[in-house]
Amino acid sequence: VKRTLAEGLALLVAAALLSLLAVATSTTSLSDVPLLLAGLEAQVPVRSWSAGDGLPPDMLIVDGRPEAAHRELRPKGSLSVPFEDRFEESIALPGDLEARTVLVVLERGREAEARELAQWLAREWGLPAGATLTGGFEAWVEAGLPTERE
Amino acid sequence: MIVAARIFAGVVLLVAGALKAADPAQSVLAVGAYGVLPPPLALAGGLLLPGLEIAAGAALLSGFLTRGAAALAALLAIAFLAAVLRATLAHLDVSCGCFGPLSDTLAPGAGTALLDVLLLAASVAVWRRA
Repeated sequence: VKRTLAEGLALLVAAALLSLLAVATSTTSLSDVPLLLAGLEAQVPVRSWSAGDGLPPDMLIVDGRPEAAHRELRPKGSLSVPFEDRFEESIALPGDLEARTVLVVLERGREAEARELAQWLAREWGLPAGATLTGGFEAWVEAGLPTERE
Repeated sequence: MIVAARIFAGVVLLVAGALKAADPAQSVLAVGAYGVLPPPLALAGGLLLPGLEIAAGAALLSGFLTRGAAALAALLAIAFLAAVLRATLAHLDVSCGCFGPLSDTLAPGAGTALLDVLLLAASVAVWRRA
């Protein structure tokens, strides 16, 4: 046990030095630390929603797919915020959104982007949490949830 | 057998650490997304994690400070398992963050839990024999 502790301590020191080296050689610098901390504080939880659970109550559904796809077929009542345009303009919150969370639907396979959009919109609108649909729009259709077209 | 365990744990940790070290900011945000640690601790943890993984991985592979490295690897594996469990129970949609940019589409779940269990088993085996 003594040896484990001594070796562990040596490794901790080595790890701290390696981490410093990683920061020094990456695009992140130590002056970014306050920014990172602010980013952490602003983070909201993003939950995954399964289409099998039925229609999300009290959630604003955001369609993050390109506008053309949104026009063709979309989750009923969804708001179009294409992932590609997300930083272009501030998007007004439609209607009364008290105690709502935002559910982002994107194509299947774009999970990381859906997560990012949900995180960004929830923060932008001051919502306590965001959510993404597991399996994307394809899962929405497969589960037989209501859709509409233009 | 014990050499295989050492190499397995060493390679997994070294690769995971090196990929995270390339982008420490991403590592911090990935830790924060789990929502377990308060922001200052998530910051410290996210910054220190790549170094811990590289140090433990390199030590296990080289056979230098093996006992300490095996204990450290076991502790890391337990922490990872707890994070995976919590993300699953809370229905969190997070990137597992395990392998830096390679894990964008890898969600914590059965696969990552299995990897953590294997890492834990290998580390404990190495610790007992070293």
